Amino acid sequence: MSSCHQIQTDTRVFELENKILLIGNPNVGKSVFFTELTGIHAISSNYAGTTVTYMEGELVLDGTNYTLIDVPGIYSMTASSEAEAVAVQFMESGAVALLCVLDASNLERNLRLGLELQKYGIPIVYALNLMDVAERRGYEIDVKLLEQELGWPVVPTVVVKQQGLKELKTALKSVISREDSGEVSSKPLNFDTRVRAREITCKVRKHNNSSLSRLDRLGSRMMQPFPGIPIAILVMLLSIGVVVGAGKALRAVLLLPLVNQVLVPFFRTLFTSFIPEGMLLNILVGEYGIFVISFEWIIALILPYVFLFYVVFSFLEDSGYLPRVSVLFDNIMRKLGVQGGSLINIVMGYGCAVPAIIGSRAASSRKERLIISTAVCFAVPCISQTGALISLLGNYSAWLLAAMILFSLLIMVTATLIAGRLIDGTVEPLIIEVPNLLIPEPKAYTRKLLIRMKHFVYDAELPMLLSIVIAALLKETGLLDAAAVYAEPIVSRWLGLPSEAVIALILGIVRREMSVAPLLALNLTPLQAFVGATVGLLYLPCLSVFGVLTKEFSVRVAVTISTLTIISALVLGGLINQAAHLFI
Amino acid sequence: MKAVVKSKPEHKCLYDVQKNCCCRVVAMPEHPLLDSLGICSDALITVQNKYRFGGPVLLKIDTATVALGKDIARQILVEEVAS
Repeated sequence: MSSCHQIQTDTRVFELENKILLIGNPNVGKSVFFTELTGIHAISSNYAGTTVTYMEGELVLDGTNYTLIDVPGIYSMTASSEAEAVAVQFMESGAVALLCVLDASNLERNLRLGLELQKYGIPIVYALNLMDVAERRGYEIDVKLLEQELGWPVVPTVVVKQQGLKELKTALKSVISREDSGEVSSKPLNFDTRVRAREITCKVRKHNNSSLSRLDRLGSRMMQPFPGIPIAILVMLLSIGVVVGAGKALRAVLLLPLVNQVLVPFFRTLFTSFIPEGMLLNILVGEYGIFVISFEWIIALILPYVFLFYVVFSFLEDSGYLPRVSVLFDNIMRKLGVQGGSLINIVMGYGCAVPAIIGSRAASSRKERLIISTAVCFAVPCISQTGALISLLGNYSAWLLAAMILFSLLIMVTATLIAGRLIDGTVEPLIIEVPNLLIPEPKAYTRKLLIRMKHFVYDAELPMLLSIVIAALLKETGLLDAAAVYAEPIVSRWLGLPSEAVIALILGIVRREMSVAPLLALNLTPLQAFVGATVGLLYLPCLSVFGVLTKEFSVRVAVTISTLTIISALVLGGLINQAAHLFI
Repeated sequence: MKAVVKSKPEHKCLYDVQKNCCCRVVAMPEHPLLDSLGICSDALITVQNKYRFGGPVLLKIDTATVALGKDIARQILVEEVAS
């Protein structure tokens, strides 16, 4: 079991020999199977569109290495979507075996794909997953009979509890050896998969008329406008409360003392003991010193909010709650020119804009993707920036923070409406399957959280460190003061901020939170803090987002969005400052 | 995407079906995802919930729960059946 790569368009993978394809409908637990079988940590989320790209990893069966490929979740092999086209390409490139994951709680629909796969003549093992959910709903499935009807091994599993995995590997070994001995050949399907799936389901599945479990009843109640919408608002407020409240507590009780009383004094003492006063010492431990600011910003400022955001978001993902929100608020999203499913991407943007923009591939049209990306770039602060904004505004009052939240929602609505009017094309209506409501399995949940934090450290904190090094160099070499002179008409006269705030505009190009974090040290008035927060919120997306916009759309789209965000940041920030001075 | 079957008086569009009613699909627009989710001719579906102000229709198809936006629900013709 070794490393894995997330590959987006690498055609080399189609030519690999010894491939085992992991295939199934969305939301059936394929990513968890992949993780359990390869030891590689793939994020699993239970709404369609999260794994549009595919993963490959190594699976060892009886000493032989196979490449296990987690193919994008699909409903059929008709190649009518990008995910299905990729799946068809994989199937046609050949494989030694297929591991088809079926949702036992939704058997008939899953069997349609399971039967379609038989026409490729590749040995199949069916993993009948979510057996616990099926039992909870009162369904009994005759697995032996199902095996006879399908003609291939069927292994009942509850993958989040690691049940059935050993039997699955045994079955895979067995079918592969049948293929090696030439017992398998391709055969055309001479039946309608829809009809056959219904026939098989009627034969093998019994319902014992038990009442719905409490969880299923709750899941059902959450879908009703009442109490669904009040619950959704409560969940949102609770989420904000956990992230902001617990984040502030974590920061105040643990992280700030750690930074201010342990880490910074230690490095100050260390470096002053052998480095004389001067530029180098200041770069290391001065006002913008690398060993001061990096601890203050990365550990004490950003980390608590990032961690708590992922605690909350991963829970909502794993529980199956988010698609319910898409349905409840589809009517509002329609008025904005998109559909309810876009809400999930926008919520993802509060973690990071990069996966939110990539995840928009599941959207129905280019127009919808552009609208989602525009909303995320303009008015959705990533979690790092959110942490900085909370610290900046929360220091003054909760009302200021609330005002910024409402303001950002207003900007999002405006940006979405304008984008909807200006971008050509259509937006398809909502078509979404609502997954089961589940209690997240602790091990899978913890693993996802750790992976997310690990990715954050590598993908975000290292560039943050780079920004901090740039900040230290700019300050100590005097370039910051020179830039402040040139930027004075905009920064001081128009925006009403201290001239040193120019560093936020410079560093904000690299990382989004860097357009806010430097303001924390400037002793701003509440008005200045609000203006600074407005500029930071609307300011251009970070370099990573620029790169993703270029890749997903075009350089023109990336440059357009970046230019518009800079202009809107400076214009709106300045207008707020100028208008406030008229009335105050 | 347009329905290709002439509607009869007893047919109505899915969007107009009342909550908790069971119906059989008579005609639907060509959309691969609809078929994949089990919404096809002669499929039996139950309307579980409806949402005001242009919201979607929540359906039960066998054991699956599917939400369809207003614009597409209006293009699906159904006839009500006894549940």
